[in-house]
Amino acid sequence: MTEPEEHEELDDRVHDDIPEGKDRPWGVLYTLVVVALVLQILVFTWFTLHFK
Amino acid sequence: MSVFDFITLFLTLGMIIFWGVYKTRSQKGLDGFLKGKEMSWATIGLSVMATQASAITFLSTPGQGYASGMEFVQNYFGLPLAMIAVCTVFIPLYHRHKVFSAYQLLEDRFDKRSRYLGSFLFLLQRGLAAGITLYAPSIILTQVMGWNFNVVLLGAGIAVIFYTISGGTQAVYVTHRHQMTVIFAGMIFVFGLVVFKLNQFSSFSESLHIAGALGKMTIVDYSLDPGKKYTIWTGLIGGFFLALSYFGTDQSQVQRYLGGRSTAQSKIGMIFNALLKVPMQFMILLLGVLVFVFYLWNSPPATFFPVNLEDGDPRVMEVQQAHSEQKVAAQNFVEALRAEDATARAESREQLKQAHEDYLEKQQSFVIDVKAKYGFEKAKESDYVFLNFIRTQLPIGMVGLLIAVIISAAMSSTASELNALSTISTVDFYQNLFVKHADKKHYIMASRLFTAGWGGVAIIFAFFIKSQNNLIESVNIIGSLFYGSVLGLFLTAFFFHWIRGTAVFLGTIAAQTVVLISYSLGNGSIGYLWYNFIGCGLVLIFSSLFQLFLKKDSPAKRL
Repeated sequence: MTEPEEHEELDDRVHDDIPEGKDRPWGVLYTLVVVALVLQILVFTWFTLHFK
Repeated sequence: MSVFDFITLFLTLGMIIFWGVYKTRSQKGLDGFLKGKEMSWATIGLSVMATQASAITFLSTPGQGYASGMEFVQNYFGLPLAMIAVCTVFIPLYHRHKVFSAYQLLEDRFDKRSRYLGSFLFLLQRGLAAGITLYAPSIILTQVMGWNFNVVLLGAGIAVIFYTISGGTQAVYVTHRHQMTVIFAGMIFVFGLVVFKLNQFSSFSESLHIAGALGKMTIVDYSLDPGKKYTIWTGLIGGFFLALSYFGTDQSQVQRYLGGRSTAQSKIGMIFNALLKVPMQFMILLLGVLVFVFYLWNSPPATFFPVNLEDGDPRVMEVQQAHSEQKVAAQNFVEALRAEDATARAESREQLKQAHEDYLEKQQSFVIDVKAKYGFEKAKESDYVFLNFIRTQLPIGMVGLLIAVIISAAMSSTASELNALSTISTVDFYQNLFVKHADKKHYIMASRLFTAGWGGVAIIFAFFIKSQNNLIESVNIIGSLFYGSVLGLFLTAFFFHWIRGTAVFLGTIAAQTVVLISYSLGNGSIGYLWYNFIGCGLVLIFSSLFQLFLKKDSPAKRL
């Protein structure tokens, strides 16, 4: 007897449905990434001027 | 290296490999083997970082800080923005289409030809790169430590093949997590040690002032001069395109986030990388700058290249004399800083700069002769600085750990490459062209054989590279020549819905041909990073033009 998963084939792509997480506040996280980048650039600019 | 160091080295590497194999020993599912599954955001984030951080990152980047200062960090400014694009466009599409290979998406949007083209370009550039990823650190490591190159290359290569075959993608994830832990721990320790050792001569702030006086602390450059290699603009624009191609379309990275428990976990993993990458590169470069200040206070070797210099060589003594004068100038500068005397500070700063220029002139002229005499013509001396520091300054036991960090980094990026090459060979070619309908055991076995095959190719290729060339630059050049076209192919799929399969297929081939011809005829007149942008733009232009003249061969599809 063959187990069911023995027939798992690549092109059938029979993985479980993966939740997309649409309910999460992604906009907040993306804004956080941009703000962190801007802050880092500002701090680095301060370093550049201070240790010139 | 002491016996205790060897014990630390083998224990660290052995434990990571054993744990990777042990945790994935019952790996029987196709999903887990080819894609990994149920991964949390932390594992994904660490795995993405481990793939990108090759051994040469830990050898070259501190060396880059030592030689040129902090400006290189600007190259990473575009990365967080590219991560947002990957999260909003690429990840949802890959998950929705439930792909194993990034290039399956191209078949869904266009046709099989486009999928084969994307996969073929990937195999070509990653296949070439895999050997170099293993070779480059092995050659530096063995030269400095005096080990046998063949033993190190075979040992590291076979270990990677072993655990990647054993547990597939799942094992790559598990080992990446521990490899990154060791890498972080090792780097933090060295950072603390340098700061501690520097404290005998100058405080942390004084050390940064010394580095700043000698031009090493220019972190952000707002210059609009297009001839400058690193500015905030090249970092934001060039870095964005490079990171988007790499993280969005390179299977060795895509495979890292396909195994997420959910789309949300994959996205958070990438955001983790977006937040951590710039600070991490900043710290590694700063470590190099601090090592530079350390060697202002302590005598460095006349050259960092691993060569036996003759005793009493007058040129060595000349370099040492210039170094002593530089040290005195640095002491005067620190005293002026402590006295808070602006005039003395300005004067001693100029003296320090002059003394450093004199030292550099003598040292560099000596290095040119060393390179010619010992066959290091195309090697970069800065690549050898950090390893020399580790070998001579770290306490017993920690040298072994830091060597483990470098070998771990080599293994982690090679594992991702072999894993991706094997998945693409199995899913895109073997399953499509040769054995279409077989059970999962058959495909897992095929994937294992492809991993072993690609690993063998990488090791054999590394054995035959007999060169001191700057190999990591070769990897970046190869990548930049192909990444642009592949990114163009994907962007056409996502955003240019009126373009069909035949047009994009011909457009990509035309763009790739133009890029390769332009590179070979250009003789370096265009910086290689620009080919990412040029290749991408050409695919969009050529595909649009072809579509205008071709009849619509298939209905327009949206992803």
